[in-house]
Amino acid sequence: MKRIIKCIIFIIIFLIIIAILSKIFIPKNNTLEAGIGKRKQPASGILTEPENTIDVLVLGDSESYNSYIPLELWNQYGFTSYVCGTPAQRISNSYEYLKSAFNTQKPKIVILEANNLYTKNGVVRRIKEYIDKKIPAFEYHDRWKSLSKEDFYKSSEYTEIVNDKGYRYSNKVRIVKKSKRENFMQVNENAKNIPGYNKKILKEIKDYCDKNGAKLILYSSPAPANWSYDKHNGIEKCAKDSRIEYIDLNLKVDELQINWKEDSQEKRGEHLNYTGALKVTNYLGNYLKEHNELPDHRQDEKYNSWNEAYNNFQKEIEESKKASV
Amino acid sequence: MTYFSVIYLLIFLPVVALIYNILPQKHRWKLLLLASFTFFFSISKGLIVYAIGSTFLIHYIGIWLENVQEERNRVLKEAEKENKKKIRADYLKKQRRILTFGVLANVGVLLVVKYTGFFGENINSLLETMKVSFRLHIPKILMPIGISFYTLQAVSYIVDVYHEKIKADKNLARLSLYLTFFPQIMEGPICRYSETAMQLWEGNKITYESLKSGLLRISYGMIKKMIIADRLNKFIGEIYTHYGKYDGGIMVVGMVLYTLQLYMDFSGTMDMVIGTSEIFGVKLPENFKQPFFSKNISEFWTRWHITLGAFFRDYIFYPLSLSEPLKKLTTNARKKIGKYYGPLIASAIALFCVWFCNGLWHGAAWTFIFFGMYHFVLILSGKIFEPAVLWLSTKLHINREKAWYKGLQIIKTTLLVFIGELFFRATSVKAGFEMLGKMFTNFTLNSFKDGTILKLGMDLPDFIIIAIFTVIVFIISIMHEKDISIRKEISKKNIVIRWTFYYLIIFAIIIFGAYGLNYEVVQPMYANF
Repeated sequence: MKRIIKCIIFIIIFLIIIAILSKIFIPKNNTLEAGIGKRKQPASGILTEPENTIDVLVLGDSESYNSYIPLELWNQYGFTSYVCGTPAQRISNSYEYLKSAFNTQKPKIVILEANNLYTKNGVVRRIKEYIDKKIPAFEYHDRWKSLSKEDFYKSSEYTEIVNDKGYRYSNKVRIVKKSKRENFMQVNENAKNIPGYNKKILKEIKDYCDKNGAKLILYSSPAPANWSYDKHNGIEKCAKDSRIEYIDLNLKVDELQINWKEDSQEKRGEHLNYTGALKVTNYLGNYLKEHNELPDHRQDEKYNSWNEAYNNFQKEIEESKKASV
Repeated sequence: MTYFSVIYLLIFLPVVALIYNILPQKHRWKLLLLASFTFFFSISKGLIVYAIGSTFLIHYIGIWLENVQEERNRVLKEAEKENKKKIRADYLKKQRRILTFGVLANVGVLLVVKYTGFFGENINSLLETMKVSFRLHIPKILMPIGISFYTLQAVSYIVDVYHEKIKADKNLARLSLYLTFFPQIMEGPICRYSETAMQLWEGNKITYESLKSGLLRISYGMIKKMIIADRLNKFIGEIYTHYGKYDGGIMVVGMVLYTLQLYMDFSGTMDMVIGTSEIFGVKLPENFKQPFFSKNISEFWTRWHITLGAFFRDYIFYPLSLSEPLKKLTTNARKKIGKYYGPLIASAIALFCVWFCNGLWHGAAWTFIFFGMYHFVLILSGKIFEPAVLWLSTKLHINREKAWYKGLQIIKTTLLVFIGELFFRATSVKAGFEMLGKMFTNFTLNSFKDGTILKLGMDLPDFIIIAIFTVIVFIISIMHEKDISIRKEISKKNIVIRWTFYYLIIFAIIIFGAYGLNYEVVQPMYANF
C-alpha cells in the first residue's frame, strides 16, 4: 500500500513538473523565431486574421497548401480564403483546425482536400496526438536551445499575420515520370474503402459545418503519385452518401491543361508547383464563384491589407524567379 | 515498432508486463512467446516463418542428436571393451553428419537471405571486367529482423547438444522462446541455451525491485541512444556521404563521433534490452564492458559485442585450433620455429577465419570484410611483436604496470578502433581510404574557424549537450570499471536524493532527447546487421 501511495505521489510530481515545462516550452508567438516550427507556422496565421474576415477555409495535408492560392482568388474575385493545411495533416487535425478557426471566423465555405481521408489514423498515432496536445513539452522540447527570459513568465499570444494566407510557394520543377502520369486514372468500378475512423470524423466535420452555416466541399488536387480511380470512386460514394459536393481534379487534368513536364515539384507527381497550383486555383475560383454567393471585398477599405499581401506575394514570386535564373 | 518507439515503450511493454504479472506463473511463458511473435510479426510480417522454420529445425536436430547419443550409450554398455573405440568413432561420424546438416541448413538460409545480392553483384562485376556478356539474375530477398542473431543462437544450441553440454529440449515452445524472446530479437545479445532458456520458462514474478532496477537500466540506455547517438545521426550522415566536400579536420571529427554514435547506439540498445529482461526476472549476458578502457585490440573485443566475440571464439576459433590438421601443423611448426611462434601459425589460420566471418557477419559489403581483416591484422601483429615489445621495454626499464604506460596503451587502442570504425561506416573501402588520407594531406582547422562544422546538421548547443552527456557516461563507465553499481548506490540514499535523481533522468530524456519533428527516427543500428 505504501508503495502504491509513493508511486501516485511520484506521478503527481511528474505531472506538475511537466505542466510547468509545457508552459515554458510552448511558443509564445506564431513566428519561426518563437519556435512554432515550419510545419505549423503558415496555418497558424488563421488565428491572427481580423475577426470574421475569411470567406473560405481550406483544410488538408500537403496537397492543399500546394494547390490552393488564396491571394490569387483575392485578386481575381475579391473573396478571402485561408489554407489551414499542414504536412501529413490527419483528418482529426483538420477537424481541430476547423474548430479553432471558427473561434474567430465565420467562413461560408469549408474545403477539404480529400487525400487525408485515406491516411491511416491508428490508435497509437491518436494517443500520440493526444499527448502532444495535452503536454506541449514533448512537441516543443527542442526549444531548450532558444529559450529566453520571456518564456518563463509570458503566456502564449499569436500576433504574426501570415502574408501568403497558408499557401506555400514552390517554383521547383520536375518532369513527372511517364509511368506515373500516364493512365493513372484508369476507369474501373472498384471503390477504395475509407477507414472507418476517418469517415466518422468526416461526418463530424460535416455536422459542425452544417451547425455553423458553412458549406463543406471536398476536392482532390491532381497528384498521380497519390491518386487513383479506386480512390476517386471511394470518395465519390462517401461524398454522395453524406451529401457533400466533390470535385476530383485528377479527372480534369486536360481541361486544366496540367503539363506534367512543368507543373510538378517531384518526379512521382506528388505535389503541384506554383504554375500547377495556379491552374487548380483558377478552376476552383471559377467553380466557387459560379456555385456560391461569395462577396467581393476588393473595394472595402477594411480589406486593404489583402491588396498589400497580394503585392508582397507577387514580389516574392519575382524575386524567387530571379534567384532561380 | 522498435525498442525506442512510443508504441513499444508506452503501450507494448507496459501491457505485456501488466498481463504477465496477473497471469499464474505456469502460463507466463505463453505470454512471453505470444509477445515475441507479435513483436517479430509487427516488424517482419510473414518473414516470421524463417524463425519458426529455424526453431523446428534445431528442435528435431537436437532430438536426433540426443537419440544417437542415447543409442551409442546403450550399445557401448553392451559392447566388448576392444570394440568401444570403433563404436564411439562410428557414432561420432553419424553425429557429425547430423550436426553438419543442421549448421549448414541454418547458416545456409542466412547466407542466401543476406548475401545473395552481394555475391551476385560481385560476380556480375567480375563478368563485366572479363567482358563476358552473361549476367546473373539477382533476386531481391527480404531479410527478416534479427536473423543474424537468432541463427547464431540456433547454431550454438545444436553444437552444445552435439558436445553434450546440454540436453536436447523436447519442448518446442521453450526452444522457440529462447530463439525469439522479444527484447533480444533485434540486436542480441547472442545467448546460449544454458544461459536463458530456463529463466524465460520459469516465469518469475515482476517485483518492485526488478521493475525499478530494469527501468533505471532502460533509462540509461535511452540517454545514450536518444540524447547522444540519435543527435549525431544527421551530422555523421552528411560527413560520410559528402566527404569530398570537407577537409581533414572534419574527417577527424567524423571519425571520432561515428565511433561515439555507434557505441552509444548499440550499448544504449543493450541497456534497453537487458533492462527489459530484468523487469521479467531474466538475466541476459552483458554485451559491453567499458570497451574504451581496453589496452589492446584483443582486449577490446572481449569488452565490445562480447557475446559475438564469445560465439566466434567457442564455435569457430577453438574447434579450428583443435582440429587435427591444425594440431599437426602446430606440432611441426613448434619444432621448426620454436614454442612461441610455432603455435602462432595455427592460431593465425583460425584467427583469419574468425575475423573473416566477423566482418562478413556485420553485413554484405567489402567495407565489413575490410573491417574484419583490419582487426585480424592488428591482433595478429600484436601477437607477433609481443616478444619484441617485451624485450624492448625490459631494455628501456619501462614498467608496463605504470599508469602512464597503460594510459598510452588505451589511447593507442582507441585510435586504432576509430580507424576501424571509419571503414565500417564508410560508403566504400576507397571512400574510407580517401577520408583517412584527407586527415594527413588536407588537415586544417578552417571548418572550425569559419563555422562550417556548425552547418552539417548540428549546432553549438547540440555539441555542448553531446559533450556533457558523454562526460556523464564516461564517469559512469569509470564507476562500473571499479565495480561500483550506481543503481545500488542510489537505492541506499534517502527519498529526496533518489527521486531527484529519477526526475533528472526522466526530464533529461524528455528535454534533450533527439526525437520529434526536428529529427529523423533512427532505428537501432545493429538491427540492420
